[in-house]
Amino acid sequence: MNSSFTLESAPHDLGVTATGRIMKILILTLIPAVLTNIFFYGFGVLINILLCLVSCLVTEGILLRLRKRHLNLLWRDSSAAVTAVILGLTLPQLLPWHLSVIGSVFAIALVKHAFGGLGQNVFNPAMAAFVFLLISSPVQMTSYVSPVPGNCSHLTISRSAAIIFGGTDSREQARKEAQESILESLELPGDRNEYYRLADSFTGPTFLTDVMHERPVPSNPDASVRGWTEGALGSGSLPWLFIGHIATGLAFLLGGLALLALRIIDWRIPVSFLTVAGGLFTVFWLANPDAFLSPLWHLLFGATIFGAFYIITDPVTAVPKPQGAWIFGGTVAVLFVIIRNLGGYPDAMAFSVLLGNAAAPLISILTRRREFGAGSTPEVLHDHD
Amino acid sequence: MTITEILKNGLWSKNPGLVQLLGLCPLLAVSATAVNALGLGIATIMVLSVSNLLISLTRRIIIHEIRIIIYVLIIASIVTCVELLMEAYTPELYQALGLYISLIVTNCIIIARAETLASRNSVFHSFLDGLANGAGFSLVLLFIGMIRELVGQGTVFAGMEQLIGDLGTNLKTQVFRSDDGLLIAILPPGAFISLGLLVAGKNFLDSRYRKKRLDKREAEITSVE
Repeated sequence: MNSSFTLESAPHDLGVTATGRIMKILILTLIPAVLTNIFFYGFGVLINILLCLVSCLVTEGILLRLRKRHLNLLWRDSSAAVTAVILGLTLPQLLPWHLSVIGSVFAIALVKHAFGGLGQNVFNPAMAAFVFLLISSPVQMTSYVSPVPGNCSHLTISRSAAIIFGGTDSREQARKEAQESILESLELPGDRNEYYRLADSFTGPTFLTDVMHERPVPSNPDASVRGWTEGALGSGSLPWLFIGHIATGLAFLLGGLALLALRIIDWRIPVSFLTVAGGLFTVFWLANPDAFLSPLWHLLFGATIFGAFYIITDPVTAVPKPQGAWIFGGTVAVLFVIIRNLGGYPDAMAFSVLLGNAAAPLISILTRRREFGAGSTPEVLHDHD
Repeated sequence: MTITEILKNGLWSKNPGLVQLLGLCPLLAVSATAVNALGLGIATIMVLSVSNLLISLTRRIIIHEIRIIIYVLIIASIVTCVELLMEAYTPELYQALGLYISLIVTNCIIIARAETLASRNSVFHSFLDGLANGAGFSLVLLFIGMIRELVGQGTVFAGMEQLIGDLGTNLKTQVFRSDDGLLIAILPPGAFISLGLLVAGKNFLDSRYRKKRLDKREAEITSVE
């Protein structure tokens, strides 16, 4: 019986995957992480995200107009919104507003549209903007809020807004109020007035920055990362940090697993990134525990989990092919470990992602699937006969 | 080639900085402030016009097979003179520009103008071409320098006294506080980004002009019909 009518060629699986749907699900899976961030870091996170959203969408609208594209792309592919949310989550929580706006404009206008818009950009827009800001104003970009449970009631919307948008006076006033409120809740030992005299104790360099300065260097060979972390643990100043970072890490992991379950992102990239990074961190740590942090801490602090699921898996700038995805995740992980352990910057997600993006086209070409029979010389074919 | 053509090519349509993208090394490295840019620009104009003049004068006696070596010899001696002049009259600027003055020898604009124009044109045309190309390059350099200085540290023409003495002390304009500047503009990435934006701006203006001219011609054709 001639069955050509019932036989169909591949693909048989018809999905409803569309760019806009992927992007909207991505934003939805970030909701737990945003809520956790607000709980531990105050409402500055939310203000940052909204600020980035507004400036990214306005820039995207203007550029779509300039490039004579239809404005409904704004809603249909929603990629500008994803860039905005990721950028808003990575920026320091109380960053002055003009820097967030400049970063968003840079991400959309120069990193995305100058290269040809969505799908054509070589670099991850959010991370490129982060590096742009980090190089532009290193002081503001490295002072993060220390996580304290219930920070949302200390760094309230009005206080955060005053610090982000306000002039010098209102900023100082809001900082002081937030500081007093936090100290009030912590029940610290000793004379409370001693703490009040500190100008600013709720923002500052992150844990990873502190660790970076505790590495033994030729000028200070006796420094020890292990000794420093043990000392900090002993004095009781770390548990809050731990709780905050574990909670945010878990929230990102939850969202990331949802993305994996919905097959929005390729599972190979986070798996290869986390295993290679974990393995290399372990090697460094076993080689010299005085100079390098243990892998568990590295996975916990900074943007490791967030980056593994949300940043390096960006479908435009990662490598889509199976073998390529393994190699891409591994490449970013190697760069990540090297920059974090040996470099002059505390966290390395942004830099390693950008370098990995630059290598992605090459990886993509090198892992091209070989056509059947291609690449074999006639003699070889003959031998197999 | 007419005089207007030479001027137009050097300053706009074949601008060495924006169209030919020659001499990118000094263009990107020395444009962190307007003063440095202007200083190097003036030095380049001097070297370029004098080298074009000398090469055009001697073009009939230069042996064709070894012409590049002779060009470099001529250019290097002019650069040495300019360098000594700058060291004598603008010592601070000389310190700030450092190696880049001597590196004018290897600036490909100068060899390019010598090879393509001065070696086969009259003395006057060559000299004028040197001036036009040098001015075109210096304007781009100055423009990038002003943008980078403004964005990076909120000033324009800071330190002009290094170049023109007491006259320059009042030229400095503070637009906003230096602390609010975007440091990246002064660093190398800022140079690449501002040059890219300038090239894009020039292409935009060109395409708009071309479109206008096309529209005008079409209108003429329909009116004739």
